Amino acid sequence: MPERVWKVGELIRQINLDFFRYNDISVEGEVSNFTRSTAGHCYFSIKDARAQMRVVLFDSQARFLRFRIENGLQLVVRGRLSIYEQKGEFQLNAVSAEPAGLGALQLAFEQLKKRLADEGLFDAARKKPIPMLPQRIAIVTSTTGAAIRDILHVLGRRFDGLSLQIYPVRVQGTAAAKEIATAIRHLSRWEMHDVVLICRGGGSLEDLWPFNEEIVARAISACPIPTISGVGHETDFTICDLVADLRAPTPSAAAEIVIRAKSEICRQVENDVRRMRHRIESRVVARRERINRRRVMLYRIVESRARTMRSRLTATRDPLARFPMRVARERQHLEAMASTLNAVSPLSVLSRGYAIAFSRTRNRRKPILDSGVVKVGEPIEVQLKKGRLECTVDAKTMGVESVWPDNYATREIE
Amino acid sequence: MPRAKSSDFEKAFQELEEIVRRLEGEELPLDESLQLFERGIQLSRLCNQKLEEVEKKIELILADSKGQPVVKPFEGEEEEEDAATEEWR
Repeated sequence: MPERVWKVGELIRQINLDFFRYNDISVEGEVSNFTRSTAGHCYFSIKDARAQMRVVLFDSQARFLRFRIENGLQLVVRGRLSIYEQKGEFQLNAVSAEPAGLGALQLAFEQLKKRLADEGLFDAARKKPIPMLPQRIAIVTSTTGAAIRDILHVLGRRFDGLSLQIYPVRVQGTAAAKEIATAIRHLSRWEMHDVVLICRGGGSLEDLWPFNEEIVARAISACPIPTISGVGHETDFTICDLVADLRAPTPSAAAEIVIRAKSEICRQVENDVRRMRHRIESRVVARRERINRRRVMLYRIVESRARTMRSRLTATRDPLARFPMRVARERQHLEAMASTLNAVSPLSVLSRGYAIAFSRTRNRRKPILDSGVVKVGEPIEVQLKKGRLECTVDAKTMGVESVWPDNYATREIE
Repeated sequence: MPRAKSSDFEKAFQELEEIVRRLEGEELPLDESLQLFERGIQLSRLCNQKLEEVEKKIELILADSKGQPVVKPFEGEEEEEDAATEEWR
Protein backbone atom coordinates (compact mmCIF):
# COMPACT_ATOMS: atom_id res chain seq x y z
CA MET A 1 0.00 0.00 0.00
CA PRO A 2 1.50 3.32 -0.97
CA GLU A 3 2.38 5.77 1.74
CA ARG A 4 1.02 8.79 0.06
CA VAL A 5 -1.96 9.81 -2.01
CA TRP A 6 -1.02 12.52 -4.54
CA LYS A 7 -3.07 15.35 -5.82
CA VAL A 8 -3.04 15.17 -9.60
CA GLY A 9 -1.48 18.58 -10.09
CA GLU A 10 1.17 17.86 -7.50
CA LEU A 11 2.08 14.56 -9.06
CA ILE A 12 2.40 15.98 -12.54
CA ARG A 13 4.49 18.86 -11.30
CA GLN A 14 6.73 16.35 -9.51
CA ILE A 15 7.04 14.22 -12.63
CA ASN A 16 7.87 17.29 -14.65
CA LEU A 17 10.62 18.01 -12.14
CA ASP A 18 11.84 14.42 -12.47
CA PHE A 19 11.79 14.90 -16.22
CA PHE A 20 14.55 17.45 -15.82
CA ARG A 21 17.04 14.86 -16.99
CA TYR A 22 15.13 14.91 -20.31
CA ASN A 23 15.50 18.67 -20.47
CA ASP A 24 17.47 18.67 -23.68
CA ILE A 25 17.00 15.57 -25.75
CA SER A 26 16.72 14.70 -29.41
CA VAL A 27 14.23 12.10 -30.66
CA GLU A 28 13.95 10.70 -34.11
CA GLY A 29 10.68 9.44 -35.52
CA GLU A 30 8.21 9.68 -38.35
CA VAL A 31 5.72 12.54 -38.29
CA SER A 32 2.01 11.82 -38.18
CA ASN A 33 -1.20 13.67 -37.27
CA PHE A 34 0.41 16.98 -38.11
CA THR A 35 -1.66 20.12 -37.53
CA ARG A 36 -0.80 23.76 -37.31
CA SER A 37 -2.96 26.16 -35.37
CA THR A 38 -3.99 29.57 -36.60
CA ALA A 39 -1.40 30.99 -34.20
CA GLY A 40 1.24 29.01 -36.06
CA HIS A 41 1.95 26.39 -33.41
CA CYS A 42 2.69 22.93 -34.76
CA TYR A 43 1.23 19.81 -33.17
CA PHE A 44 2.15 16.34 -34.32
CA SER A 45 3.20 12.88 -33.28
CA ILE A 46 6.45 11.13 -33.93
CA LYS A 47 6.58 7.40 -33.94
CA ASP A 48 8.59 4.37 -34.69
CA ALA A 49 7.46 0.74 -35.05
CA ARG A 50 6.87 0.31 -31.35
CA ALA A 51 5.66 3.61 -29.90
CA GLN A 52 4.64 7.17 -30.47
CA MET A 53 4.64 10.47 -28.61
CA ARG A 54 3.15 13.95 -28.98
CA VAL A 55 5.28 16.92 -30.04
CA VAL A 56 4.48 20.60 -29.87
CA LEU A 57 6.56 23.22 -31.70
CA PHE A 58 5.52 26.76 -30.97
CA ASP A 59 5.38 29.38 -33.69
CA SER A 60 8.23 31.31 -32.08
CA GLN A 61 10.46 28.44 -33.18
CA ALA A 62 8.47 27.02 -36.07
CA ARG A 63 8.72 30.27 -38.05
CA PHE A 64 12.46 29.75 -38.46
CA LEU A 65 12.11 26.38 -40.11
CA ARG A 66 13.07 26.57 -43.80
CA PHE A 67 11.22 23.35 -44.61
CA ARG A 68 7.69 22.31 -43.84
CA ILE A 69 6.83 19.61 -41.41
CA GLU A 70 4.69 17.03 -43.12
CA ASN A 71 3.23 13.68 -42.22
CA GLY A 72 5.58 10.83 -43.07
CA LEU A 73 8.65 12.98 -42.70
CA GLN A 74 11.49 11.40 -40.72
CA LEU A 75 12.38 14.06 -38.19
CA VAL A 76 14.91 14.62 -35.44
CA VAL A 77 13.19 16.79 -32.87
CA ARG A 78 15.08 18.48 -30.10
CA GLY A 79 13.43 19.74 -26.93
CA ARG A 80 12.27 19.08 -23.44
CA LEU A 81 9.98 16.33 -22.18
CA SER A 82 7.00 17.37 -20.10
CA ILE A 83 3.47 16.54 -19.21
CA TYR A 84 0.89 19.06 -20.25
CA GLU A 85 -0.84 19.62 -16.94
CA GLN A 86 -4.33 20.50 -18.16
CA LYS A 87 -4.58 17.32 -20.21
CA GLY A 88 -2.12 15.18 -18.36
CA GLU A 89 -0.54 14.36 -21.66
CA PHE A 90 3.05 13.43 -22.08
CA GLN A 91 4.71 15.52 -24.80
CA LEU A 92 7.92 16.86 -26.22
CA ASN A 93 8.21 20.65 -26.23
CA ALA A 94 10.35 21.06 -29.30
CA VAL A 95 12.74 23.97 -29.83
CA SER A 96 13.97 22.78 -33.22
CA ALA A 97 13.43 20.10 -35.78
CA GLU A 98 15.74 18.76 -38.44
CA PRO A 99 14.95 16.33 -41.12
CA ALA A 100 16.77 13.03 -40.54
CA GLY A 101 19.48 12.32 -43.13
CA LEU A 102 18.89 15.25 -45.45
CA GLY A 103 19.90 18.79 -44.48
CA ALA A 104 17.07 21.15 -43.61
CA LEU A 105 17.84 23.43 -46.57
CA GLN A 106 18.04 20.51 -48.92
CA LEU A 107 14.67 19.29 -47.67
CA ALA A 108 13.18 22.76 -47.89
CA PHE A 109 14.44 22.99 -51.43
CA GLU A 110 12.96 19.61 -52.35
CA GLN A 111 9.66 20.48 -50.71
CA LEU A 112 9.26 23.87 -52.38
CA LYS A 113 10.39 22.40 -55.66
CA LYS A 114 7.78 19.67 -55.44
CA ARG A 115 5.06 22.05 -54.38
CA LEU A 116 5.77 24.56 -57.16
CA ALA A 117 6.17 21.74 -59.65
CA ASP A 118 2.76 20.40 -58.62
CA GLU A 119 1.35 23.87 -59.19
CA GLY A 120 2.88 23.79 -62.66
CA LEU A 121 5.21 26.74 -62.13
CA PHE A 122 8.07 25.00 -63.90
CA ASP A 123 6.00 23.79 -66.83
CA ALA A 124 7.64 24.29 -70.18
CA ALA A 125 4.33 25.67 -71.45
CA ARG A 126 4.59 28.55 -68.96
CA LYS A 127 8.01 29.58 -70.19
CA LYS A 128 7.96 32.84 -72.10
CA PRO A 129 10.29 32.92 -75.06
CA ILE A 130 13.31 35.13 -74.62
CA PRO A 131 12.88 37.97 -77.12
CA MET A 132 14.94 37.62 -80.21
CA LEU A 133 16.66 40.90 -79.66
CA PRO A 134 16.70 41.87 -75.98
CA GLN A 135 18.05 45.40 -75.90
CA ARG A 136 16.72 46.90 -72.71
CA ILE A 137 18.07 44.63 -70.06
CA ALA A 138 17.31 44.78 -66.35
CA ILE A 139 19.66 42.98 -64.01
CA VAL A 140 18.56 42.20 -60.49
CA THR A 141 21.75 41.69 -58.56
CA SER A 142 24.18 43.25 -56.15
CA THR A 143 26.29 46.09 -57.50
CA THR A 144 29.24 44.84 -55.50
CA GLY A 145 29.01 41.14 -56.21
CA ALA A 146 30.96 38.91 -58.55
CA ALA A 147 27.92 38.53 -60.81
CA ILE A 148 27.81 42.11 -62.09
CA ARG A 149 31.57 42.13 -62.54
CA ASP A 150 31.39 38.94 -64.60
CA ILE A 151 28.50 40.26 -66.65
CA LEU A 152 30.25 43.53 -67.45
CA HIS A 153 33.38 41.60 -68.28
CA VAL A 154 31.52 39.40 -70.76
CA LEU A 155 29.76 42.32 -72.36
CA GLY A 156 33.00 44.28 -72.52
CA ARG A 157 32.94 46.50 -75.54
CA ARG A 158 30.52 44.32 -77.42
CA PHE A 159 27.33 45.80 -76.19
CA ASP A 160 26.53 48.44 -78.76
CA GLY A 161 22.79 48.80 -78.92
CA LEU A 162 22.22 47.44 -75.43
CA SER A 163 20.97 49.31 -72.41
CA LEU A 164 21.71 47.77 -69.04
CA GLN A 165 19.85 48.83 -65.94
CA ILE A 166 20.93 47.27 -62.69
CA TYR A 167 18.36 46.97 -59.95
CA PRO A 168 20.62 46.78 -56.89
CA VAL A 169 19.58 44.25 -54.25
CA ARG A 170 21.22 42.29 -51.52
CA VAL A 171 21.76 38.73 -52.69
CA GLN A 172 22.58 37.17 -49.34
CA GLY A 173 21.12 37.18 -45.86
CA THR A 174 17.62 37.26 -44.44
CA ALA A 175 16.48 40.44 -46.20
CA ALA A 176 17.73 39.35 -49.61
CA ALA A 177 14.75 37.25 -50.74
CA LYS A 178 12.32 40.05 -50.00
CA GLU A 179 14.47 42.63 -51.82
CA ILE A 180 14.84 40.40 -54.86
CA ALA A 181 11.13 39.68 -54.98
CA THR A 182 10.29 43.38 -54.61
CA ALA A 183 12.71 44.32 -57.38
CA ILE A 184 11.14 41.78 -59.73
CA ARG A 185 7.66 42.98 -58.89
CA HIS A 186 8.61 46.61 -59.60
CA LEU A 187 10.22 45.68 -62.90
CA SER A 188 7.13 43.63 -63.75
CA ARG A 189 4.93 46.64 -63.16
CA TRP A 190 7.12 49.13 -65.02
CA GLU A 191 7.54 46.92 -68.08
CA MET A 192 10.43 49.01 -69.32
CA HIS A 193 12.67 46.12 -70.22
CA ASP A 194 12.89 43.37 -72.80
CA VAL A 195 14.35 40.87 -70.39
CA VAL A 196 15.11 40.58 -66.67
CA LEU A 197 18.30 38.87 -65.55
CA ILE A 198 18.39 37.60 -61.97
CA CYS A 199 21.98 36.98 -61.04
CA ARG A 200 24.29 36.06 -58.25
CA GLY A 201 27.80 34.67 -58.11
CA GLY A 202 28.66 31.30 -56.61
CA GLY A 203 28.30 30.40 -52.94
CA SER A 204 27.12 27.76 -50.53
CA LEU A 205 23.56 26.48 -50.45
CA GLU A 206 23.05 28.79 -47.49
CA ASP A 207 24.46 31.74 -49.49
CA LEU A 208 22.23 31.02 -52.46
CA TRP A 209 19.23 30.46 -50.25
CA PRO A 210 17.35 33.69 -51.12
CA PHE A 211 17.03 32.34 -54.66
CA ASN A 212 15.27 29.28 -53.25
CA GLU A 213 12.65 31.27 -51.41
CA GLU A 214 9.04 31.02 -52.35
CA ILE A 215 8.47 34.79 -52.59
CA VAL A 216 11.22 35.04 -55.19
CA ALA A 217 9.78 32.10 -57.09
CA ARG A 218 6.31 33.66 -57.03
CA ALA A 219 7.60 37.07 -58.16
CA ILE A 220 9.45 35.50 -61.07
CA SER A 221 6.53 33.37 -62.14
CA ALA A 222 4.25 36.44 -62.09
CA CYS A 223 6.70 38.55 -64.10
CA PRO A 224 5.34 39.38 -67.57
CA ILE A 225 8.84 40.15 -68.83
CA PRO A 226 10.88 37.13 -69.85
CA THR A 227 13.36 36.20 -67.14
CA ILE A 228 16.82 34.69 -67.30
CA SER A 229 18.29 33.29 -64.13
CA GLY A 230 22.05 33.07 -63.65
CA VAL A 231 22.68 32.07 -60.08
CA GLY A 232 25.82 30.46 -58.67
CA HIS A 233 27.97 28.04 -60.58
CA GLU A 234 26.99 25.53 -63.20
CA THR A 235 26.31 22.82 -60.65
CA ASP A 236 24.05 24.99 -58.51
CA PHE A 237 20.38 24.60 -59.16
CA THR A 238 17.98 27.00 -57.47
CA ILE A 239 14.23 27.36 -57.47
CA CYS A 240 14.86 30.67 -59.25
CA ASP A 241 16.55 28.73 -62.07
CA LEU A 242 13.54 26.46 -62.36
CA VAL A 243 10.91 29.20 -62.41
CA ALA A 244 12.75 31.59 -64.70
CA ASP A 245 11.98 31.37 -68.40
CA LEU A 246 15.59 30.48 -69.09
CA ARG A 247 18.30 29.15 -66.82
CA ALA A 248 21.83 30.28 -67.52
CA PRO A 249 24.45 28.21 -65.72
CA THR A 250 26.26 31.35 -64.49
CA PRO A 251 25.84 35.14 -64.60
CA SER A 252 28.46 35.25 -67.39
CA ALA A 253 26.41 32.76 -69.36
CA ALA A 254 23.32 34.93 -68.91
CA ALA A 255 25.25 37.86 -70.39
CA GLU A 256 26.46 35.62 -73.21
CA ILE A 257 22.89 34.70 -74.06
CA VAL A 258 21.94 38.36 -74.40
CA ILE A 259 25.04 39.28 -76.40
CA ARG A 260 24.91 36.24 -78.60
CA ALA A 261 21.30 36.91 -79.43
CA LYS A 262 22.31 40.26 -80.86
CA SER A 263 25.38 39.20 -82.77
CA GLU A 264 23.60 36.11 -84.08
CA ILE A 265 20.78 38.24 -85.35
CA CYS A 266 23.24 40.62 -87.01
CA ARG A 267 24.80 37.65 -88.73
CA GLN A 268 21.43 36.18 -89.62
CA VAL A 269 20.27 39.43 -91.21
CA GLU A 270 23.51 39.63 -93.20
CA ASN A 271 23.07 36.04 -94.19
CA ASP A 272 19.49 36.64 -95.28
CA VAL A 273 20.53 39.55 -97.44
CA ARG A 274 23.28 37.47 -99.01
CA ARG A 275 20.90 34.60 -99.71
CA MET A 276 18.33 36.92 -101.26
CA ARG A 277 20.98 38.60 -103.43
CA HIS A 278 22.35 35.28 -104.52
CA ARG A 279 18.89 33.97 -105.36
CA ILE A 280 17.86 37.06 -107.28
CA GLU A 281 21.18 37.31 -109.09
CA SER A 282 21.10 33.70 -110.11
CA ARG A 283 17.53 34.11 -111.27
CA VAL A 284 18.37 37.22 -113.27
CA VAL A 285 21.40 35.49 -114.75
CA ALA A 286 19.33 32.42 -115.57
CA ARG A 287 16.69 34.63 -117.13
CA ARG A 288 19.28 36.54 -119.12
CA GLU A 289 20.75 33.27 -120.32
CA ARG A 290 17.34 32.07 -121.32
CA ILE A 291 16.76 35.28 -123.21
CA ASN A 292 20.12 34.93 -124.90
CA ARG A 293 19.41 31.34 -125.80
CA ARG A 294 16.07 32.38 -127.22
CA ARG A 295 17.71 35.16 -129.12
CA VAL A 296 20.26 32.78 -130.58
CA MET A 297 17.48 30.37 -131.45
CA LEU A 298 15.52 33.17 -133.04
CA TYR A 299 18.53 34.20 -135.10
CA ARG A 300 19.01 30.67 -136.20
CA ILE A 301 15.41 30.29 -137.21
CA VAL A 302 15.37 33.58 -139.07
CA GLU A 303 18.64 32.74 -140.73
CA SER A 304 17.57 29.34 -141.89
CA ARG A 305 14.26 30.77 -143.10
CA ALA A 306 16.14 33.43 -145.00
CA ARG A 307 18.39 30.80 -146.49
CA THR A 308 15.46 28.72 -147.60
CA MET A 309 13.74 31.75 -149.06
CA ARG A 310 16.86 32.87 -150.83
CA SER A 311 17.54 29.50 -152.32
CA ARG A 312 13.94 29.19 -153.41
CA LEU A 313 14.12 32.63 -154.95
CA THR A 314 17.32 31.72 -156.73
CA ALA A 315 15.66 28.61 -158.01
CA THR A 316 12.80 30.55 -159.56
CA ARG A 317 15.03 33.32 -160.82
CA ASP A 318 17.49 30.98 -162.53
CA PRO A 319 15.57 30.32 -165.74
CA LEU A 320 14.89 33.99 -165.99
CA ALA A 321 18.53 34.70 -165.48
CA ARG A 322 19.43 32.23 -168.18
CA PHE A 323 16.85 33.68 -170.58
CA PRO A 324 18.93 36.56 -172.06
CA MET A 325 21.64 34.07 -172.82
CA ARG A 326 19.22 31.93 -174.73
CA VAL A 327 17.96 34.94 -176.63
CA ALA A 328 21.49 35.84 -177.57
CA ARG A 329 22.18 32.30 -178.66
CA GLU A 330 18.98 32.20 -180.71
CA ARG A 331 19.82 35.50 -182.24
CA GLN A 332 23.27 34.27 -183.15
CA HIS A 333 21.78 31.17 -184.64
CA LEU A 334 19.26 33.26 -186.49
CA GLU A 335 21.97 35.52 -187.77
CA ALA A 336 24.00 32.56 -188.87
CA MET A 337 21.01 31.16 -190.68
CA ALA A 338 20.26 34.53 -192.19
CA SER A 339 23.79 34.87 -193.46
CA THR A 340 23.63 31.39 -194.95
CA LEU A 341 20.35 32.29 -196.48
CA ASN A 342 21.85 35.45 -197.72
CA ALA A 343 24.77 33.61 -199.16
CA VAL A 344 22.55 31.34 -201.15
CA SER A 345 20.18 34.07 -202.18
CA PRO A 346 20.27 34.95 -205.86
CA LEU A 347 20.07 38.52 -204.80
CA SER A 348 23.50 38.31 -203.30
CA VAL A 349 24.84 36.94 -206.55
CA LEU A 350 23.32 39.91 -208.32
CA SER A 351 24.94 42.27 -205.92
CA ARG A 352 28.25 40.91 -206.99
CA GLY A 353 27.58 41.90 -210.62
CA TYR A 354 25.98 38.78 -211.95
CA ALA A 355 22.70 38.89 -213.85
CA ILE A 356 20.03 36.28 -214.26
CA ALA A 357 18.46 35.69 -217.62
CA PHE A 358 14.88 34.53 -217.69
CA SER A 359 12.91 33.08 -220.56
CA ARG A 360 9.29 33.77 -220.80
CA THR A 361 7.38 30.82 -221.95
CA ARG A 362 3.75 30.47 -221.35
CA ASN A 363 3.92 33.36 -219.01
CA ARG A 364 6.32 31.57 -216.73
CA ARG A 365 9.68 33.05 -215.96
CA LYS A 366 12.37 30.52 -215.95
CA PRO A 367 16.09 31.18 -215.58
CA ILE A 368 17.99 30.31 -218.69
CA LEU A 369 20.75 27.90 -217.90
CA ASP A 370 21.37 26.56 -221.47
CA SER A 371 21.46 28.62 -224.64
CA GLY A 372 19.72 25.77 -226.34
CA VAL A 373 16.41 26.53 -224.75
CA VAL A 374 16.00 29.89 -226.42
CA LYS A 375 15.64 30.75 -230.01
CA VAL A 376 17.21 33.66 -231.76
CA GLY A 377 14.82 36.55 -231.81
CA GLU A 378 13.12 35.41 -228.66
CA PRO A 379 12.57 38.06 -226.01
CA ILE A 380 14.22 37.37 -222.68
CA GLU A 381 14.47 39.23 -219.43
CA VAL A 382 17.62 40.01 -217.56
CA GLN A 383 17.45 40.62 -213.96
CA LEU A 384 20.13 42.98 -212.56
CA LYS A 385 20.86 43.94 -209.03
CA LYS A 386 18.85 47.02 -209.66
CA GLY A 387 16.18 46.83 -212.29
CA ARG A 388 15.44 44.56 -215.28
CA LEU A 389 16.29 44.56 -218.90
CA GLU A 390 13.96 43.42 -221.67
CA CYS A 391 16.13 41.96 -224.37
CA THR A 392 15.98 39.96 -227.58
CA VAL A 393 18.35 37.12 -228.36
CA ASP A 394 20.45 38.21 -231.34
CA ALA A 395 22.65 35.19 -231.69
CA LYS A 396 23.68 32.22 -229.64
CA THR A 397 26.41 29.76 -229.27
CA MET A 398 25.77 26.25 -228.43
CA GLY A 399 28.04 25.46 -225.79
CA VAL A 400 29.60 23.33 -223.33
CA GLU A 401 29.09 23.69 -219.63
CA SER A 402 30.70 26.90 -218.55
CA VAL A 403 33.77 26.70 -216.41
CA TRP A 404 34.74 29.78 -214.62
CA PRO A 405 36.19 31.56 -217.67
CA ASP A 406 38.21 34.66 -217.47
CA ASN A 407 36.39 35.88 -220.40
CA TYR A 408 33.04 34.91 -219.15
CA ALA A 409 31.91 38.43 -218.73
CA THR A 410 33.49 39.60 -221.96
CA ARG A 411 32.00 36.74 -223.78
CA GLU A 412 28.72 37.43 -222.27
CA ILE A 413 29.07 41.00 -223.42
CA GLU A 414 30.07 39.80 -226.80
CA MET B 1 10.19 53.38 -74.22
CA PRO B 2 7.60 50.67 -74.65
CA ARG B 3 8.66 47.09 -74.87
CA ALA B 4 6.67 46.66 -78.11
CA LYS B 5 9.67 48.09 -80.00
CA SER B 6 11.51 44.84 -79.99
CA SER B 7 8.47 43.00 -81.29
CA ASP B 8 8.50 45.41 -84.26
CA PHE B 9 11.93 44.11 -84.82
CA GLU B 10 10.78 40.53 -84.51
CA LYS B 11 8.03 41.14 -87.04
CA ALA B 12 10.45 42.68 -89.50
CA PHE B 13 12.94 39.90 -88.92
CA GLN B 14 10.33 37.19 -89.36
CA GLU B 15 9.04 38.78 -92.56
CA LEU B 16 12.60 38.90 -93.83
CA GLU B 17 13.06 35.21 -93.03
CA GLU B 18 9.79 34.43 -94.77
CA ILE B 19 10.88 36.33 -97.86
CA VAL B 20 14.16 34.44 -97.99
CA ARG B 21 12.26 31.18 -97.59
CA ARG B 22 9.88 32.08 -100.40
CA LEU B 23 12.62 33.29 -102.69
CA GLU B 24 14.54 30.09 -102.18
CA GLY B 25 11.67 27.67 -102.02
CA GLU B 26 9.12 28.81 -104.57
CA GLU B 27 9.24 29.29 -108.29
CA LEU B 28 7.96 32.85 -108.38
CA PRO B 29 7.63 35.03 -111.44
CA LEU B 30 10.67 37.24 -111.77
CA ASP B 31 8.65 40.40 -111.21
CA GLU B 32 7.33 39.12 -107.94
CA SER B 33 10.78 37.91 -106.91
CA LEU B 34 12.20 41.35 -107.53
CA GLN B 35 9.44 42.94 -105.51
CA LEU B 36 10.09 40.53 -102.64
CA PHE B 37 13.79 41.20 -102.90
CA GLU B 38 13.22 44.92 -102.66
CA ARG B 39 11.02 44.42 -99.60
CA GLY B 40 13.63 42.13 -98.09
CA ILE B 41 16.35 44.71 -98.48
CA GLN B 42 14.06 47.29 -96.91
CA LEU B 43 13.43 44.95 -93.96
CA SER B 44 17.12 44.19 -93.52
CA ARG B 45 17.79 47.93 -93.29
CA LEU B 46 15.03 48.26 -90.72
CA CYS B 47 16.52 45.38 -88.72
CA ASN B 48 19.98 46.87 -88.80
CA GLN B 49 18.59 50.20 -87.75
CA LYS B 50 16.79 48.59 -84.82
CA LEU B 51 19.92 46.72 -83.87
CA GLU B 52 21.77 49.97 -83.41
CA GLU B 53 19.01 52.24 -82.19
CA VAL B 54 19.31 51.61 -78.45
CA GLU B 55 21.88 53.84 -76.90
CA LYS B 56 24.69 51.94 -75.25
CA LYS B 57 24.51 52.72 -71.56
CA ILE B 58 24.62 51.24 -68.13
CA GLU B 59 22.59 52.64 -65.24
CA LEU B 60 21.05 51.84 -61.90
CA ILE B 61 17.31 51.57 -61.62
CA LEU B 62 15.47 51.64 -58.30
CA ALA B 63 12.03 52.33 -56.96
CA ASP B 64 11.33 55.51 -55.08
CA SER B 65 9.03 55.59 -52.06
CA LYS B 66 5.99 55.61 -54.34
CA GLY B 67 7.25 52.63 -56.28
CA GLN B 68 8.15 54.72 -59.32
CA PRO B 69 11.34 54.01 -61.22
CA VAL B 70 14.38 56.18 -60.54
CA VAL B 71 17.32 55.91 -62.90
CA LYS B 72 20.80 56.87 -61.71
CA PRO B 73 24.18 56.67 -63.29
CA PHE B 74 26.13 53.55 -62.44
CA GLU B 75 29.56 54.35 -61.09
CA GLY B 76 30.81 50.83 -61.05
CA GLU B 77 31.90 49.18 -57.89
CA GLU B 78 32.52 51.44 -54.98
CA GLU B 79 35.56 49.61 -53.69
CA GLU B 80 37.66 49.21 -56.77
CA GLU B 81 37.60 49.94 -60.46
CA ASP B 82 38.78 46.81 -62.18
CA ALA B 83 39.65 46.28 -65.79
CA ALA B 84 36.21 45.01 -66.72
CA THR B 85 34.35 48.08 -65.51
CA GLU B 86 36.96 50.33 -67.03
CA GLU B 87 36.49 48.66 -70.37
CA TRP B 88 32.95 49.72 -71.15
CA ARG B 89 33.34 53.30 -70.00
